Order: sequence, then C-alpha cells, then structure tokens
Amino acid sequence: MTEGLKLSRRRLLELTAMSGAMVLAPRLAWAGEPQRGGHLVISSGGAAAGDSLDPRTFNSPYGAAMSGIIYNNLIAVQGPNKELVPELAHSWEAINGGLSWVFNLVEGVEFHNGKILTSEDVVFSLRRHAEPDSRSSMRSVISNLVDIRADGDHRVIIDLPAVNYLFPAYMAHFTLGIVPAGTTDFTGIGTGGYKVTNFAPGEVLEMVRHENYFKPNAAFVDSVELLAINDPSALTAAFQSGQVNMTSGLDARSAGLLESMANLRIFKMEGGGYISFNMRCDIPPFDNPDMRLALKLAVDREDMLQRVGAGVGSIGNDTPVPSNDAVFSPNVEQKRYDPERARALFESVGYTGPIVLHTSDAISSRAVDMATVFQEHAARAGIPIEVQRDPADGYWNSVVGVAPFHVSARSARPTADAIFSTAFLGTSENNECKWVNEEFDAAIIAARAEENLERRLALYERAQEICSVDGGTMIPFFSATVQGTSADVDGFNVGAVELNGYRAVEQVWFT
Amino acid sequence: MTLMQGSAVRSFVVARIASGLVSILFISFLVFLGTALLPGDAATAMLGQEATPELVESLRQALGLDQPLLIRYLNWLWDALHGDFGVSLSNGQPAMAMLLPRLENSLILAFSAAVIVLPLAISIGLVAAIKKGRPFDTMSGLVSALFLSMPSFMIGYVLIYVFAVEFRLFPAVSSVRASTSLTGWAWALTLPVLTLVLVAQSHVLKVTRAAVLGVMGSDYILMAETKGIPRIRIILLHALPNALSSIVSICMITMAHLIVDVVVIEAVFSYPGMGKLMVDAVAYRDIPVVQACGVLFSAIFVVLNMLADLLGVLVNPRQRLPRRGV
Repeated sequence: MTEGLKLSRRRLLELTAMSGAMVLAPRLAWAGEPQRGGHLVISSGGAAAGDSLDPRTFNSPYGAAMSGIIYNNLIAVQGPNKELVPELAHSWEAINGGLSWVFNLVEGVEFHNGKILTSEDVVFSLRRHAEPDSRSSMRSVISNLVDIRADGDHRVIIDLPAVNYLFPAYMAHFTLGIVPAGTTDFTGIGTGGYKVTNFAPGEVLEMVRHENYFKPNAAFVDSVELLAINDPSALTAAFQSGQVNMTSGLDARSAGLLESMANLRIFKMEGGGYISFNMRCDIPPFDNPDMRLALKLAVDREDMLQRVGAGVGSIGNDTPVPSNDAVFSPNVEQKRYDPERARALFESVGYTGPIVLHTSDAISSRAVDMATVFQEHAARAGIPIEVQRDPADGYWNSVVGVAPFHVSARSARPTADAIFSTAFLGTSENNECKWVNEEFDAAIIAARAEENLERRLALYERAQEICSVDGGTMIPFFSATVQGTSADVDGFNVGAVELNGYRAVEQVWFT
Repeated sequence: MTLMQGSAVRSFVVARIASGLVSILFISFLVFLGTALLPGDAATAMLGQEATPELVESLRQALGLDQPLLIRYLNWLWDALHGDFGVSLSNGQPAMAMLLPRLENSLILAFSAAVIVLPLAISIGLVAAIKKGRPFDTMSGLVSALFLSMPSFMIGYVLIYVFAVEFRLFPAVSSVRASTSLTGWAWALTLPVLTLVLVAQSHVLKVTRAAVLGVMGSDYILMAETKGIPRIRIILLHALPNALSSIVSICMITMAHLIVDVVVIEAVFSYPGMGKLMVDAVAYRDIPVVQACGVLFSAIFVVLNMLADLLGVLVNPRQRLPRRGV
C-alpha cells in the first residue's frame, strides 16, 4: 500500500515538475470495448436560475460538471492520485528556473463553431479572470501572475511572481475552460466533446456530440443531458429509478442501500474535502496552543467517522492533506482520542468559561451532527462544550472566520499547496483561524520553489507536523465522494476529483 | 330597488378591489423589508468564502446597498410599478424575464391540479352528504383527513418511492422544457399533480359536505321532504344552489393554496416553476428575483381571495342586499 502510494506520488511530481512523457491515466479493466451511441442523462446539484455558460462564473458542482463536458482546460486531473494529464496542452515545462511555465498546445483543435484553437484563445481565456468585474474563484491566482503571453500560435508562456513548481495544477481548475478569443456572448462555444443545443439555467443543459473533437478515443455517447437537481432526496430518487444514468454528490449515508440495488453501480472514493472545527488563534482561550491540542485530543475520530460519515471517508489528522495525496507524510504522528491527556492539558490552561461551538445546516446537516458528537466526546475528557446551532442564513459571512470556535468546511483542491495557501498561510485573507506560524509559512513558500522532490516532500512533512500539532483547524475526518452509474453504463473511472476530474461524460459508453 | 341593489354591489366591488390593492402594497413593503433584514447583506452573501473586503465594498456600491432603506424601497416600488423588478444579481438578466416562463409552468401545474381536484372533491363531498353516516361518508372523511394531516413534501416523497422507484411508472424528477411533447408533459406532471390533488382535496370536500348538510336542516328542505321529493333531487336542486356561495369561496381559496403549495412541490420534483426559482434564489441570495417572486405570489393569492369574496356575493343573492341599515 505504501509502496504503491510512493510510486504514484513520485510519478505525479515528476509529471508536474518536468513534464516528460505524458501518460494517460490507465483505464480500469472493463469487460467491454467502447461503443458509440445512446443518450446519457447525468445530474448535479448546485444549479441556479442565474447560471451562465461563461466559465469565469462557474462556482458550483453544476458549473464544474458543465465545464468538463463543453470546455477543455490546458491540463486535466485524472484518477485517484490526481494525476495531471495533457488536454489542450500536450506538454508543459518550467523555464527560467521555475519562474515561467511554457504550455505547448495541441495543433488543429477545433471549437464548436469551426474556429481552430491558437495561443491567443488561451491568453484571452485566462486573462479574463483577472479583469476588474471578474468574480472568478481563480481571480486572485490569475491576477497575481506577472504575465500570460502567446509565443507563436501554439505556445503559451506564463510568468510567475515567484518560483513555483506546483503551478501547472492550477490550470486544471474547472473555471479555466478555454473559449475563443474575443467571446462576449457565452453560448457554450468551447472545444469539448459535446456542444450545447439548449441551455435552460437552473433546469437542464442539452448537448450533442462534437464530431470533430480532438481526442481520438473519447465522447462515445451521441447526446447528453445534464439535469439540475438540487434537492438531495430528489437526486437519489431519480438515480434509483433509472431516470438518471450517472451522478455524483450522493449521500454517503445512503451508499450502502444503493449498493444493494442490482441496477446501480456505486463508486466510493476518499476525497480531500472536509468539515472542520475552527479555533480562532487570536482569541482566548484558543490563543493557547495547549488549549488547541487539548481539544484535538478530545475528539474520537473513528467514532465520528462511523457515526456521522457512515464509515465512508478517512481519518483526519488536523492537516488538510488526506492520506491519498502525493505529499501526505505518514511520519506525522496520528492523533488518537486520549481523554486523560486532554483533561490534563485543559486543566493546565485553567480556562473556566463556556466553550461555545457554533454550527449550522449552512455547512451541511452533518456539521450539526459532528458538533453534537464532539460535545459528547469532549465531555468524557471533562471539557464542557456548548453547541450553538445558528440559522443557515448568513452563517457563512457572520460566523465562519468570525466566531471564536465554529464549524466550517473546505472542498478538495488539486494540490496540497492550493489548500495550504488558501486556508492556512498567515498572509492569506481566507485564513479563517487567523493562525500564524512563521516556520509553517516558510516551509510552504519554500516548497513551491523546491525543484528537488525529496527536499520538497521533507518541507511538506514539516508543514504537516506543525499544522497538525499547533494549527487552529481540527479536521476529524475527510469526507468521501459517492458517485454512481446505472448498470448499463461502462467506462466510468473513479477519480479523487468528482466525475473523474469532470471528464467522465466523454469517457463512458452504453453496453 | 334594483338601482339601489346595483350601486351597493358596485361599491362593494370597488371597496373589495381597493382593499386588495392596499394589501398588495403592504405586502410589497413586507417583502422588501424581509429581504433587506436577511442577516449579512447581499454583497457578502454573494461572494461567500472567496470574499475580500475590497470586492465586498465594490459590490455594495454597485448594488446601491449604501443608501437608506426607505429610499431603496421607494425606488424599487417605483420601478416595480412599471414592471421592472431589477436585474438578477447572478446573471444580470431582468428578474421579470426570468420569472415569466417559470410562472407559466407553475400555473400549468396549479391549474392541472385544480381542474382535477375541484370537480372530484365537490362530487365526493356531495355523495358524502347524500350518504351521511354511511360507510362511504366515514371512509371518505378518514382518507381525506389522512392526506390533510401529512405534510405535502411527505406525500410527494411517498408517491416518488411507490410510483417512480418501485414500479417505475412515472419519472421521479419532472424535467420539462419547451421541446417536451404533450404526452411528455402529461407523464412528467402526473406525480406532482397527484400530490397537489391529495393535498388540496380535503378542504373542498369537507366544506361541500358541511355546507350542503347545513342547508339540509332548513325549513324549506323539510317542506320538500314532506312533499315526498326524492333525497337526491332535494340535494341537487334545493340544497346545492344555496350552499354554492361557500363552495365557490373554498374553491377560490383552494386555488390560492395550490399556487402556494407549488413552492414546496416544485422543489421536491425539481419542476422548473416559480416556486423552485424562488427557493433557489433565496439560497443564492438573488434578492431582486426573491422580491419579484414574493410580490407575484402574494398578488396571485390576494386576487384569488378577492375573487372568492366577489363570486360568493354574486352567486348568493342575499348577500347583495345592503349591509347597513338592517
């Protein structure tokens, strides 16, 4: 198990750093050969009547699903180890000692309107994210770049403000789909395997096969329908009844029941997303590291995973790096439930006031369950937790990052650097715990610029150690993604990012 | 006499319409106030976890959130009176343009249910009245009360489980679009319409039965009975016309409730109507769309209530007499 992990970790880093020969994620062995034809219905939540086809506006599971069907990125993420594979860029390499990245584009790629892709389209598509009216979730990343420029028709060069060998992974983010240069009216013209025939925001996206798709062995079904189903019960019912052929976002707690149905295939995958308990490190009593450690030792992680996550997921160690991540360090000591030590630490702090844990349905129904289960665990260590359930309205902006002790959540990111930079660096605006640790920050910054793999892993190991012991974020477990197809769908590969990096639609066929 | 009667009806109609308009105006203020009082303002809610103070400030100015509440209300009301509810915060489309096709879908759903539930429930109510105290009366009362006491979404889920998941007769998700054929619509609408029928039948059934039975105790019915007229003829020709006023009222009020119930039912069946639009808009803090939906829903509700009163007067000659100076 560790051996396999090391191999794939090394492969990922090699790919990222040097972009040698690019290997496609090996397909799982399926009985049949791909067949053309059929009408595929998939579904996703998170849709709204205000959705648009502009990739810059994608910020929900529905937008991500749309992106992966009608647009392509420079790079795609595939498989359980989040391997970076070529898409519109057939190769990429660092130049200027890691300060610039070159992306070499596939030639002869055709947009849905017949236009041929050039580097100008890529430059246009990426630069849009930094414009003043952009509300793109990649805005901060793109606007920090020094330059995005075309070098001939099939080379794009991106200049970074500082050396970063992990940069290419950003290009796989689902908002960075490539559109034709100069597009102002976004009707879904992309290079993807399917072109839009009808889009009703918040209801449905209908598509037919793009006959000139540049990937030779992809896009098998003739037409695709992406249904917007926001209600989780309706989603499960539509999937059970066979009305939907493929879906992500199923509830882990119903996975066991769905698995027993003969007409369905269920795929469970340990993900990188998590629900956390955030302690504000600038507010007493959480400014005391002993207090933070006491609480971290007062949670029974196995029990919480069983009771809240239905056993589907993996145990967390208060760092945002799940055990299937390429830079995960198995050497960082896994914290275990230790009520005695927690009690001793808590008493040494001498804090007597109430410890109020804010939680809300706004995060997820599990967020409320988790807080209640934790209250029970902590009580056995003599730590009195008061659970305060706040209304869902406004929870994200009036409680998350504000209250001294609260429940929050983060979705999976393509790299450890992405999540560390967003949520843990002392300089980040999105650091909800206001945790500042100079040694940790230095390790994260140095890791970006470290070309040597072993040394980079060592830096990440140190960062995880510090984060696990000293950090303000408690991560009891990582949630799992539960996806499914009907039994007549073949070719579905499970990836750490949902729908195999949102490319599942072009990879499946009907048997 | 007729002249006086006519002017009394006219003044009643005018007064009723005026009070309806005042209600809508008052509701519009409540809707505006409600959306303004939502915790956290629209700017921070829209930006969510990615918010930076600089982005929030620019968005607040763009949305006009830095002005006082009353000024914002009057500006909004003035535009709304011209049919302009502002543009959606999420995609910049006019809120009304997003709303109208959805309103059409909701009305199709609500009226399909009404066309089925009103004749059905009135008939069952009449038969129950005719067979008062017999097994049919008891059973219809029991079944009707059973569905009345279940929440509407619960009925929806039970129907989905039975008819979509177990027997696979109808779709679990009612996805319809412009290109859907008529039979496709019928297939997709069956379960949501059935849910609405089960939810809405109870009041109509009970009021019909009670109104007819109430009239049955009158002297002129006793007179008819002693003359030896068959019971069914008494009920249809003598009792029903006099009970019609309350039946018409409850029908209108039931239609108003149907329009409101679609909010929940549309979410359960993922049906692209105004209710689902409103629920999504609330979740994404698309305030102009929420306001437009809120005002439109309440306007429909007020208008149907008003029709209930007016029709109730028109079908009952006694109520046309002046109320004052008895």
